[in-house]
Amino acid sequence: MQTDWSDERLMLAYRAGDADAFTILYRRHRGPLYRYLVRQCGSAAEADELHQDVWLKVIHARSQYEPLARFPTWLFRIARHRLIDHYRQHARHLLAQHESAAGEDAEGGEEWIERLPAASEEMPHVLLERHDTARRISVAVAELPPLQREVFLLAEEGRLTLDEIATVTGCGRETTKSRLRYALGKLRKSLQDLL
Amino acid sequence: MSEPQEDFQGDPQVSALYREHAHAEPPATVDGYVLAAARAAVRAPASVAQRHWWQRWRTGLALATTLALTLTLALLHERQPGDLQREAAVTPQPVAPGVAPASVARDTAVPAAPPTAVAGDAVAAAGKAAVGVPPKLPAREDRLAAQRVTPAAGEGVRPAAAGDAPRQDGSPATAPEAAPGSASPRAREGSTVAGTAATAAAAAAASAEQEAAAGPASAARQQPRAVAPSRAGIARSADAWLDEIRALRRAGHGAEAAKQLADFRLAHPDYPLPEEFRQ
Repeated sequence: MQTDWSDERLMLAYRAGDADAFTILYRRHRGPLYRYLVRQCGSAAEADELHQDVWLKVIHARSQYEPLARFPTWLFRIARHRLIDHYRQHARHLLAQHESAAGEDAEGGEEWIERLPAASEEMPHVLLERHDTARRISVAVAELPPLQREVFLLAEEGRLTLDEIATVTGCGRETTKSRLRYALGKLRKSLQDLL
Repeated sequence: MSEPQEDFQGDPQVSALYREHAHAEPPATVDGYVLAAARAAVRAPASVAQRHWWQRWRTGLALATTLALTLTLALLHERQPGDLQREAAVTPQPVAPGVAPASVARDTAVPAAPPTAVAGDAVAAAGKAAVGVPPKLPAREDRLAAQRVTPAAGEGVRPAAAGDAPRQDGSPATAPEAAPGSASPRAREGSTVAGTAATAAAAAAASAEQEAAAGPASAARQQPRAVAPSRAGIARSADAWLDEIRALRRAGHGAEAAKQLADFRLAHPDYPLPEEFRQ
């Protein structure tokens, strides 16, 4: 059964012309990728567009795909590049903040909270679920500094290892580990009463 | 699926809480669009055969164009049959001792020469161009040709004659102008052409009434002369020129021979002159 196949095998099957393999692959990763995008850009409409673009890039790059890394690593790397392009086109100030923050101490990003991409209340999943816990979680995630939020989402949604996150983000493994530690600490602090 | 952190346990409680409430998914329209695009991309190779005709045939067209261009260039550089005929017509009949060439005989006997005789005149024009003699050739050429025929009793016009020249009319003839050791028949042919041309040029000193007597035939022979000069001029060798001068001396045209010799020394200042010309 193709449903038991690994991501890499499915992608190779799709590269060979098996469209059903792509369908299985897409259904496995559509949710995590979409949530990663929607929490990163802060807009459901933009997340829809980004999500579609990322998968189209996967489709067009299928002939060059080689299973040198896990499929999620490849997929989220494409997604991250697409997000950076999106920032360049629509929110250069966010990109500038994103880049400048890369050299700062991960703890020194409190001012980012006021300049996050979008208010958590506007996210569609918050509006749909109308659940207080979900809203609080979303708020807590959205209030994370961008780099910490990125690492956290790659770890939670992409299920990437520290090394894979470091590969996707282009940072060192220890830097990634530090950012993830700070992100989890902040979330624990924000959601303490829910734990 | 491997765990995100092998040596970093993270916060399982936070992770569980987050995953429990993370349900956002893309809309069905986006799903449909992506899956349709994926299937269309897979079907694309099947439509390769339906590519634009230019994309399908461009390789073949490029090869055909290259081949056509190559053939065209090859044909342009190949000698045309018309050229061969013209060259054959330009080649004069070799003069054999005791036998008057057909063209000479016709020239001397009939004022209006047939087309084969015109060829000899064209060569004469070539010789004229080579030595810079004014175009008063036909009559003098006829006279010189007659003189060349005169010593048929055994004195060859060209002592250096060696081997048989190409015979076009089947008559037995030798190539008097052919220098010993000529590289090829073509070279001999060029030498023969130059010799006849120079002979005709030497006859340029003859009177004008003979030219007038030639009348329309002479005019008719003037026309093809414009074709030959370059070939004759190029083919003319120093040896052949000296042979012509020698022939002029023997024919009694000392002044013309001296003039030719002067021209020769201008054209070939480094050429070692034979003893007979050093005086």
